[in-house]
Amino acid sequence: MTKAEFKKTALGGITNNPVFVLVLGMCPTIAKSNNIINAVSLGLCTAFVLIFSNLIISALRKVIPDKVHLPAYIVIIASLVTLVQMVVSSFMPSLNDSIGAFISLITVNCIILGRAEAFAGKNKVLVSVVDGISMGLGFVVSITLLGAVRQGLTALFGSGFFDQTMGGFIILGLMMALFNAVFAIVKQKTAQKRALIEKEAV
Amino acid sequence: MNKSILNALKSVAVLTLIAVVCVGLLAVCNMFFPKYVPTLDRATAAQINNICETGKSDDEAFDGGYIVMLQESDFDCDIAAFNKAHKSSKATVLAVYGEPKGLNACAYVVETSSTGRDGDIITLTAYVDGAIVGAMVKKQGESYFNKLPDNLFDGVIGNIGDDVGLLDEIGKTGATITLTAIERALNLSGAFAVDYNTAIRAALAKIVTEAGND
Repeated sequence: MTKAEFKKTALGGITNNPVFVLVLGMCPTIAKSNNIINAVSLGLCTAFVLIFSNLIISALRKVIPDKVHLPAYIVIIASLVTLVQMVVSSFMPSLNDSIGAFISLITVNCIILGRAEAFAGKNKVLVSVVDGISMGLGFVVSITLLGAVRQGLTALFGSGFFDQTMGGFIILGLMMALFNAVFAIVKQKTAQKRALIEKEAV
Repeated sequence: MNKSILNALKSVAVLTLIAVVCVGLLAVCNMFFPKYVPTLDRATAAQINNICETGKSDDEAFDGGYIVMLQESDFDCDIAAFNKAHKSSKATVLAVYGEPKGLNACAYVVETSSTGRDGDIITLTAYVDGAIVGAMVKKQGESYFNKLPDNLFDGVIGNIGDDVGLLDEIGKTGATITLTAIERALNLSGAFAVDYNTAIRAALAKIVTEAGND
């Protein structure tokens, strides 16, 4: 893998942000971003599963036959999720009370299965781990930001809207628009800078 | 053997191997997680005092010996054997607490465990003369526990034996698995109360007598 490809993978969490760009894993994102503690906790659990599922799936990619690759991925992901659930329920029972159901649902989170299918199943271990870290951090940061904004707005305007699903969708939509607008400007400026350098070189 | 059959067999073998390794690793990990051991601490005493009043404050009830944890030898019981005999009930009796003195002297509480949707549900059921006087869920991690009504145990007060029908009584809640598990726990503790009511009451009376002699 070239340095440029590695950089592209490492920046995947921003350029292909699972929440704001790929719009994956919306169910837990909306349901558990009503406060920052739940958001960070669920984000970290998801990131852990994502990193280790990428690692294991990538290591086993040559062993797993094509015909059963999806069930095999699900078994691996479900085992990691079970492990996370065992840790959370044993050592953080109050957290388990608030996000327990959504920890089980990480098994079917599109981000994890999507990265396993699109990336880890086709690439080497190291780069798959980097992809997992990048995407995991991207998810943690996005859901935390969303949780912080929603909790802040709830504190300002009272509960009943921003901490509910409808308010969550609206805030997510606005943040998505803002993220993509900023990202488009940055992309445009980078392209202009590159064009200028190329022009000067010619 | 043709190639497609070989491929199919290989797929099944790999999938089975992955599943077996995952299950094995999880079983090993599970051994290192702390297991629930019933103990009579201040929190448990307060819960017991809540479902079966001693007439004293929680601290007084705990420090003054109004609530005690009974040992199997106290009432000549083998809880493991009882659980084995009631294996089909899919619940287990964990411990028995008693109130040797106080407002409900000779009342006792059976602690039971049954598997719900997201792990074990620990239930405390209080009995006076073999009839339920109060019950509560001591520990649970159920995702849909909040769907159950607050007055969950109101209908079982006065029940004797193992015919509690919480599912029929409460109806649809959205937490059927959790409710079923609680029902199993109540029924097993009911069966336990039927079998050991006299022995437990005698043991509690003995504790009071011994304390009086001292």
